[in-house]
Amino acid sequence: MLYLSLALPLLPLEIFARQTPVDSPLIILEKQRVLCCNKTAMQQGIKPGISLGTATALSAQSRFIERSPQQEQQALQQLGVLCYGFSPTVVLQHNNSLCLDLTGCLKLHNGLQSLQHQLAQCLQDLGYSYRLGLADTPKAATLLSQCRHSAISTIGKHFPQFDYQTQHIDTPGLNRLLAKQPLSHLDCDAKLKNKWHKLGFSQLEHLLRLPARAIGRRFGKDFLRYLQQLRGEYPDPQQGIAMPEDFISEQVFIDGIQQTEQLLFPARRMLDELSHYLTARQLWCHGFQWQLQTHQQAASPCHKLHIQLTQAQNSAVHFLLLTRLKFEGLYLNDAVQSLRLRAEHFSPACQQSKALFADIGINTADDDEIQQLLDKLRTRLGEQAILQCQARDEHLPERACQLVPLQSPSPNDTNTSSKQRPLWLFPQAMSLHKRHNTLYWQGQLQLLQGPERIDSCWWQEKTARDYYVARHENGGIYWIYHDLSCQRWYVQGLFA
Amino acid sequence: MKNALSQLLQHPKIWQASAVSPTEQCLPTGHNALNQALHLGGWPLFGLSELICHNSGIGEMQLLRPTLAQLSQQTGYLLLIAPPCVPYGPAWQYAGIRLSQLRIIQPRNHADLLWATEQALRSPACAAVISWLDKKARANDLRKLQLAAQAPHNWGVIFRHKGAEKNASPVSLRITLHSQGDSLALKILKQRGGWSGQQLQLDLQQALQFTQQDAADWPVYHPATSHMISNQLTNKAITPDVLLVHRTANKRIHENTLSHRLASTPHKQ
Repeated sequence: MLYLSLALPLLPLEIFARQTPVDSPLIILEKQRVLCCNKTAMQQGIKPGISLGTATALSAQSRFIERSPQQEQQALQQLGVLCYGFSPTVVLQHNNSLCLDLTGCLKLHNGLQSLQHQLAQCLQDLGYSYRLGLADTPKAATLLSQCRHSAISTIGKHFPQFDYQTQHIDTPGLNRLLAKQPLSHLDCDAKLKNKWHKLGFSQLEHLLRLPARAIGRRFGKDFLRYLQQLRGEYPDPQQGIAMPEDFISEQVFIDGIQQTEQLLFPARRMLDELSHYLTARQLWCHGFQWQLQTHQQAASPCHKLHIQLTQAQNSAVHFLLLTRLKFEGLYLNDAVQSLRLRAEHFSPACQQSKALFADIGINTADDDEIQQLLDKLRTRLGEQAILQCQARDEHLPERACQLVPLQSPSPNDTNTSSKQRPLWLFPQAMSLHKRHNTLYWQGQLQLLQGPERIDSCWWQEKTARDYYVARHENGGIYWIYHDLSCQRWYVQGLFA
Repeated sequence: MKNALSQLLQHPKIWQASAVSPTEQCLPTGHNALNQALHLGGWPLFGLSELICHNSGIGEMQLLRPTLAQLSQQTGYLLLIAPPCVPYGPAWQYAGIRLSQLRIIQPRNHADLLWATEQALRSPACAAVISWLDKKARANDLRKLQLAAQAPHNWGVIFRHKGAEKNASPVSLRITLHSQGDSLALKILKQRGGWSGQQLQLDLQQALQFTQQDAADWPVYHPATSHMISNQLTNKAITPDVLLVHRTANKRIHENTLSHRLASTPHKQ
């Protein structure tokens, strides 16, 4: 058995400060006491645990923010999704930590060292500071991750309790390490901790020396069970996180963001999270939505930017490109207070294989590249700007062809026409002038061929037209018709 | 001195007419006379082709039609950016172009038009990009597009307005088009790596340019000669000259003539 615990001691602070580095002192409060603070505040003498009054006295220009458990939980959930890429069982724990069951995962990730490296890389990209603890039970791993000294928090450091040669936990080493853990880090009641303090117990080894029955009698059965689970003497089943149905990620900016370019940095991280989420659930998304809140109140209206994808996919780079295009066209008249990413519509991922030796030349059109181009064009120009041409079995030319948006089914290639028809139609047929038996439309028209009678729609509004091919004096060849119902001449198309 | 000159000639920014890259690929135009006039033997794939059209509708799409029909059989899109009118689907199908490969982009303004053209030219997803540039397009914009079209992914064509030939342009091929009688007259203003100045005429719309005769002049069956025909039918093969004679005086048929059609409709303004 192998468990890795991931503790995020600065999570209450980092949900506010990780996206945009804050230079001014920033203090997170819980019940009128300092929970944690950033480096600038530390330099001014602020310590976790001091009261609000003391902190105000020490640093007058500090910014105080109330702790937000809801957002912490959301951030932890996102991290859980990320860790799901490393382990099938990820457990959210109440003290802002995650526990990963690595039993049987090491081979896939090519050993613990490589897994540690990948995890560290991911967390560094997301901007969280963290501590790791490794043990053979979840409770022991959590205990080790709480400790400031033994925990590993940088890339390249090794766990002393792990044998990297055999990829197994070094049990005597782990027991020695556990024995040295301070009792204050144990996950139990404050009253008990007080009791141990009075008894002169400070480290776990002092407790472990006592017989189990004595512990049960003195400190309660719950604690005895906890200790047995910590040492692996009693089963400790873990409930892994369930993947949420929708993806929602939110980022709050304490100073507000005025320029859209600055939004791209947090947006990139959120899109990475989305990509991890999609990978974990083996899904592709059909589109996502950005919500930009410009006021503090949650109920106030916000900018909503929909990005629709031509085909479902999962590519953070492509998502970011489209987001950039969308943000470019955005005009902000107020600072953005929070940015929220939401994705709801998914479909199962289906991987396609690509040709190993792509042909060089003109026919290298890749399906991905087609989608990427269409997505780019749609994002900047809008849904209505990209059209496809659909031919129908109708007699009237304006009904026989329609420009439809991309969402509609692709046009079929069966040839419906057998006659020479103009390649271009005018959006609206334009009226011609007739003077002295000659037709004029920006110049003189001379009839070449015709008539061809098109008579249709008797069940609706009867239309009868005589079509002619006519040459304009400038050389263009037009398709004109004589409407028999109103006895007028119109120009409808252009043979180009 | 000679050494210095040869050093100078190696500068990447100096282009020599003799140094045609062997990798220059082309697309056959489908018109033999034009293929021969172009030194590559077809439309260039490296860089843009610029068509300066004096009037619309003179046969400019017929010029592109064979290449478009060929490209539409492949996987890439044919992208029409800011076309002057609405493409009439059945006619494109009749011309041999698959509608499923055709996409129409309608940008709202000049900046979007240039941007969309550039993106499309850069993407290997398009087999052909045909863009109708507006009058605001400057030489700088063309240079940008020409650079975007450097990769041999796709065939880039831009249509320019009349008068654009007066300004210099960095594209690979420039042709002016104007109508001359029944045919389309082409003048090659510039082709990179080859001689320019060729003038040629293409009869692209012969079927359309054919002027239908007035019904009055149509050959009709003459009853007076019918007995002669029956005689001849029994004897030997007949010739059309004998069978059909002109009858110009028939008033009923005269009503069907084109000129009479115009005259007979009420005059409305």
